[in-house]
Amino acid sequence: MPRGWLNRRHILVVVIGMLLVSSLLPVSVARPIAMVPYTAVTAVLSPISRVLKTFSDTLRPGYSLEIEAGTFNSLRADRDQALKTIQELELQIVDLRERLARLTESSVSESRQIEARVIWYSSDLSNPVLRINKGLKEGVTPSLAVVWGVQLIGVVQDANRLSAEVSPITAPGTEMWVRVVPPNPNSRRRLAGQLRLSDDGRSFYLDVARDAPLEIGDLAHLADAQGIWPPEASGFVVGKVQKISDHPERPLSLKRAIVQPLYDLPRLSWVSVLEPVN
Amino acid sequence: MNWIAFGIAAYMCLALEMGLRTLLLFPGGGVGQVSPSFMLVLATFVALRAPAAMVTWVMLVLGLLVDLTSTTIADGPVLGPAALGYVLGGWAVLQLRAMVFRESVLTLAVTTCIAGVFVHLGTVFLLSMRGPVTGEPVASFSAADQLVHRFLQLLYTVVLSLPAGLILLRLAPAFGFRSRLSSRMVETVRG
Repeated sequence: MPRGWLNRRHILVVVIGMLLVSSLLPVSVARPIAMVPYTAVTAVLSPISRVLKTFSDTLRPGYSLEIEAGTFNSLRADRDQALKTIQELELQIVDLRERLARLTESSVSESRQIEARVIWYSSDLSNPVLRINKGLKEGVTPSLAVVWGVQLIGVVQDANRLSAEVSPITAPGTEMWVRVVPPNPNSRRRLAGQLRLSDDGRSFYLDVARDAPLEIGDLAHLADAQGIWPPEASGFVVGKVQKISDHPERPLSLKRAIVQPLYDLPRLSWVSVLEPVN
Repeated sequence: MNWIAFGIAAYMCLALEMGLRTLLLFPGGGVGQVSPSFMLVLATFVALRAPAAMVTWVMLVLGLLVDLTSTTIADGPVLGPAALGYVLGGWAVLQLRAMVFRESVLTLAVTTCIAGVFVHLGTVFLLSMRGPVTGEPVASFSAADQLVHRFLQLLYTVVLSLPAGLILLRLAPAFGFRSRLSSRMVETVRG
């Protein structure tokens, strides 16, 4: 090895320095660097280590979780029954709150619709906003409900004399109680639950018991009895059940429905603001 | 040093360490189960006999292999902590090896214990520094728990180094270790 600027000792110092930096890198950076050698080492080792692992497991098998099938089934039945009872009670609570709201606020639930054109929208998922061409001059004030046909769009967030900004229902952190019913008005099937915004910021999810009466195509209507939403918005459609799948964490007891709003925010050209009559 | 023999030995030790982990698990009380490290025994064995200039490189290679197969960081392997810990352990052995009788299994066991202390202290120090430096502490990582766990692992490794040392001493000629002193002695005898 020559005694110039690049000798074995210098290379060693550089390698040690690089390893020092590598060992203190965030996992998001360090992991991709290590994945190639990791894959290679694992692939090279796997033939013999697998044989040795099988040998080890034969000589010393792992612990097995032994649960009596009868006890397990009984517990599962109890859990299912409890979930069903909770679901029914939630439904009754929503019914009673709606009834109470109707009795106490019947005078303000009547409303007139102010039609407005959508003049701008923000596609930023962290703060989606619609701007409409009606403002204080036409009676559009903050916290009024905004709809599009039977679909609830959102709530007026801010208003000036000539225009107003609407925060759509897909704004981050949205949670709302809904009643999910089939499109057929004669059907008696219904379900109450709480919608939460999905990570994609465009749809909602609803976690319900596995045996809950829910089908693709059902409509979720706002059933807000806590006073979070304007009373005029109650009963408007929040979205349609597009997909039903197993709950990602509790697939044995729950299922997850994806509820998609009926509107397409970028294509929305007009909306109606619900102004209470009294 | 015969690098092919060393490569085969490293491969076998790593495969044994990964494959026999279930079989050799020993209850470690509140810090989880412990298993011995074949790689540490091999590293100490090589550090005792290989030329000083090569020891650091050997330690780097073995440490990197340990980094790649380590599960301390659950999110994925990170190169460095064990590699630098092994370099530190190799340095410790280099300071000691002139004073010990290398042909004894007991020497290997004691040196493994000393080297292991340096290896684990270095590794745990670097893993502990990840939190303050990167802002991403290793999940469920406690330096105290790690030190206790690794100390128990080291004791187990020292016990293992007795039978493993016997095998390695038998295989020593295959590694082709030859120090400068022994070459001179050979030349003197030949001359």
